Amino acid sequence: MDVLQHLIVGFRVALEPMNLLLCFLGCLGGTLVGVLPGFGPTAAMALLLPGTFHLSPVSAIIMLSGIYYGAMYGGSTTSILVNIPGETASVMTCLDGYQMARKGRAGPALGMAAFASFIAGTIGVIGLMLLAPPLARFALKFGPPEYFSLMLLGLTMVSYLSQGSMIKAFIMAGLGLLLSFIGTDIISGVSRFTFDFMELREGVGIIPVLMGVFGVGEILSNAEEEMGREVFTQKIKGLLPSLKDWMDSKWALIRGALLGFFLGILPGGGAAIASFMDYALEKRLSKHPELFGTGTIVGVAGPESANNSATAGAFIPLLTLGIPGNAVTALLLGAFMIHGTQPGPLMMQRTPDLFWGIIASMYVGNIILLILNLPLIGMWVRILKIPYPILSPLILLFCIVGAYSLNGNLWDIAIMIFFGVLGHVMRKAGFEGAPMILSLVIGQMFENAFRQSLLIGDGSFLIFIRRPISAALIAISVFLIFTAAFRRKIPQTN
Amino acid sequence: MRKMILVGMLVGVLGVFFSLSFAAFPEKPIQIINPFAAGGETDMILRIIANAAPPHFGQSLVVVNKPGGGGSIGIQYVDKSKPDGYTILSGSLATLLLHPHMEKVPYTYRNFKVIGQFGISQIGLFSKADTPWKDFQGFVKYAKEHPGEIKYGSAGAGTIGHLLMESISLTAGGLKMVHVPYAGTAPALTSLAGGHIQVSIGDVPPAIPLMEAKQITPLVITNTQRVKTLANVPALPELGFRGVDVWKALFAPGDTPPAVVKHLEKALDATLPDQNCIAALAKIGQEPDFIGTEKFTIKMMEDDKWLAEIVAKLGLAKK
Amino acid sequence: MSASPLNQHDRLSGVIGMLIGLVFCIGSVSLGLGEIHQPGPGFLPFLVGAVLVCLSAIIFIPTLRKEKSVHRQEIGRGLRKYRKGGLIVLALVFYNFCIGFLGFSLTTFLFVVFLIKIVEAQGWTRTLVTALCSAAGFYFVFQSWLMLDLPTGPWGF
Repeated sequence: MDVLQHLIVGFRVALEPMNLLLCFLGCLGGTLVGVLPGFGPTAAMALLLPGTFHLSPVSAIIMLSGIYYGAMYGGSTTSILVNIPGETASVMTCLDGYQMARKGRAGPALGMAAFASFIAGTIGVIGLMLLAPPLARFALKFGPPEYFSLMLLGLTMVSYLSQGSMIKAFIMAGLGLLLSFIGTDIISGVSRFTFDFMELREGVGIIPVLMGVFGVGEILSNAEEEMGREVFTQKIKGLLPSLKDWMDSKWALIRGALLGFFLGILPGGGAAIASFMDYALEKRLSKHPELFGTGTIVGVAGPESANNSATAGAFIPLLTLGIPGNAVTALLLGAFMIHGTQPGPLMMQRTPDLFWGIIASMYVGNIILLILNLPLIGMWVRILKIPYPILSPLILLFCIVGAYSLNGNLWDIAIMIFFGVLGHVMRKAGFEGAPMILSLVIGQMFENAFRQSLLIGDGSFLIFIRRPISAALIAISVFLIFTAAFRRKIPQTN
Repeated sequence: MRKMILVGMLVGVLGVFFSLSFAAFPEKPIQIINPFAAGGETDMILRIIANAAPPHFGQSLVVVNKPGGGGSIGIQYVDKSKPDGYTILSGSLATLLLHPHMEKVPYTYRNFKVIGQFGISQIGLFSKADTPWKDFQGFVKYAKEHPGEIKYGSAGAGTIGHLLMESISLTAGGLKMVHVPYAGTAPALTSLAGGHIQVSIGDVPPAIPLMEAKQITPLVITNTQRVKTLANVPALPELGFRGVDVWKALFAPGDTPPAVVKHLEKALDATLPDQNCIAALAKIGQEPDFIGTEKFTIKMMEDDKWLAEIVAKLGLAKK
Repeated sequence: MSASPLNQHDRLSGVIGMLIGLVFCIGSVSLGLGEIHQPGPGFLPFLVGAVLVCLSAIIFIPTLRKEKSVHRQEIGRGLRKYRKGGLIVLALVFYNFCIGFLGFSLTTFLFVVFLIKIVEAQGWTRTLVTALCSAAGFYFVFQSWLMLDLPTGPWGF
């Protein structure tokens, strides 16, 4: 088997002591960076990039990639412990992971997140290894109409992201969309709703909004609880997922890995959308959808596996076509070029060592991360034992510095505070943050794809239906809307 | 006679004084403000230059990112900082000339003193591999004979690629092409490779892997001269169209003393030909391209005039 | 019978939702709606704004049948609940305001002291220890190690 031979060569490269060490350092650094909210993998990679000048291309890429997937592992830690998503892909983990932590089940949540990431990451790498070229060609078939339909599907799933009223979920989605429209419109070039604030030209930052609604908002709601009620139950119930947890999650893990992988392949798709859609999918397929949001393990297992396999998927367009799907892979592309290699279809032929070395190191990286993260669970859980009056100012500080670290601009802190208050107030009124965040993430892509499609199709709406992939996605969206409306009606006819 | 000696001594003392204060100029590291986030193409070029800078500048150069507002946040920051030569700006044709024509910003390029150009972006027009046209002239002919059929991608409305394409269209006598803006050169190229649009205009480096995969072919380079990475692709001026060099240059706040600016200019001129610098830049497909203060200022004004015209023609000028 | 219970804040939420929708609709018109085959920059914002107005109305209208007296009682009792949260928000706003001229370390120190001592009413030892450790700790992690440019105050740190 050709692939097996290549893989053996790859492992030989990846397991060289120097590369192994760099992989470890990358994973460690990435995990730490992922834990810090705001300061993302791109910043860390940019910091370390000059340091890699003297390394060989393989070694440099191995270390930088380690940071990337390490950050994915680390991001879920703060989501579970303190309801602060490290980046957009970790938002879904907050919904159930944090509730689990409040009930004393932070350990199992963290453990399941780590295992889900490992399993999904491995599945992702296998997919990458076996299916890269054909998948890349498939990804190219996604043009503006297909993206539009995909985003439409995402938006129809919004109602699954909240526990409460469907109308309120859609109101939040609408709000998120409106927020996403703020900034310079790439299709017409005009600035929309920026009120002459230069800081708004590139839009309201997603991360400050995230940290505000989830992190600061949570602290504010806890401030309103009566004295004496603990935020975190002090009885820690186990450090690892139980057998029941595993049985509940097994399908979620597989589904998440597959969904995440395919969404990750699409340039612009990515881990965030994958985790949102997987959460919605799991809730839709679950026999107990009302448990979602109260601390069910499936709500952690699914999104976590989705966002990690999406990470592996994102490597496909990068390695096979030289197309970066997101900011991180764009930076990796730059790193490739600085080291004199051009990723692309010729890379597999010209420099098989490099290609297979990177793939093998992704396996190795996943193993390293699992080994790194499991023992840390005990340490993380202990942090929750810090008395909340001391813990909450620290959490706030964490958020503040995290927000500032994005752009070195105090404006981001202001946005975070604003949305913190807003998020808290809205929650009291029965509106939840997750649908707004999803719409904020996909809003611009949704609108751009819509208008680009009309431009390509000369103004005709048929373009969405004539193309098979787009038509299929729209059909699924319509199906979901009908069944959702139908389902809600049935209990009422009792 | 005594008066002359006195004047001579005064001049001498003043001269020594000036040269002393001038020679003392870089006493601490100099910050280059990059108004975009870390990791971009310009960022890497700046870091390479900063790496090779110390022996020529006499101090280290530190690249500081101040992203936001499409570049305006960082530019404003330098505009308001102390004009002592320790805070300089990495500006480009897009951020300092083009942007102020289209958006309300509290500065123009005249707020700054030019230190010198350090590089030029390479921009080109690319097309799908299997098309009815074989080269740029063939493409123009096809576009003329099939109005409304060509869909071209760009990095966004109001970006230099968009303006260049419209300029080409006007020069060719008015081609009717549909502009499909994308959120950057990379998404546009991806769409091009997938065949959703027929041509796309944008930066050259991201296009190279796709060219090697034979998915897309280059039609023309929009710079005023050919570029090393695509040496056998003609540049617009050769074919009778106006080319534009999207330059990247260093600037200092407007009130920076001329002597300091001169020192920085000389240092930049000395750094760019440095072997380390050239080698590292070549790896990312860039070549250093220095133009000194005076020549560059003239170039800037010409570019500004052309930009003002075309922005007005396209109706993109700020209200 | 609707599937979800009416929230006591629905009246206010509905009104605010409709207002926000309306603001975006009006703003969108001035941006240019274009036409349906060639949507302008205001097209989708207008649509979404309009949908928001409708959905908010759906939330709002049922509240017109509710009694008003219950509403007023809730407000009076609620104000004391908001004291802590309000102080936290105040602290955050002051933090953002002061960090520019007091610098990161000093502002952080004061912030933590305020939150732990005044808002959470803990003892002085805990307060000072935590404040010092956090100011120093965050400084080292973010400024020295991650090389983030934190604002410096008059003392240069």
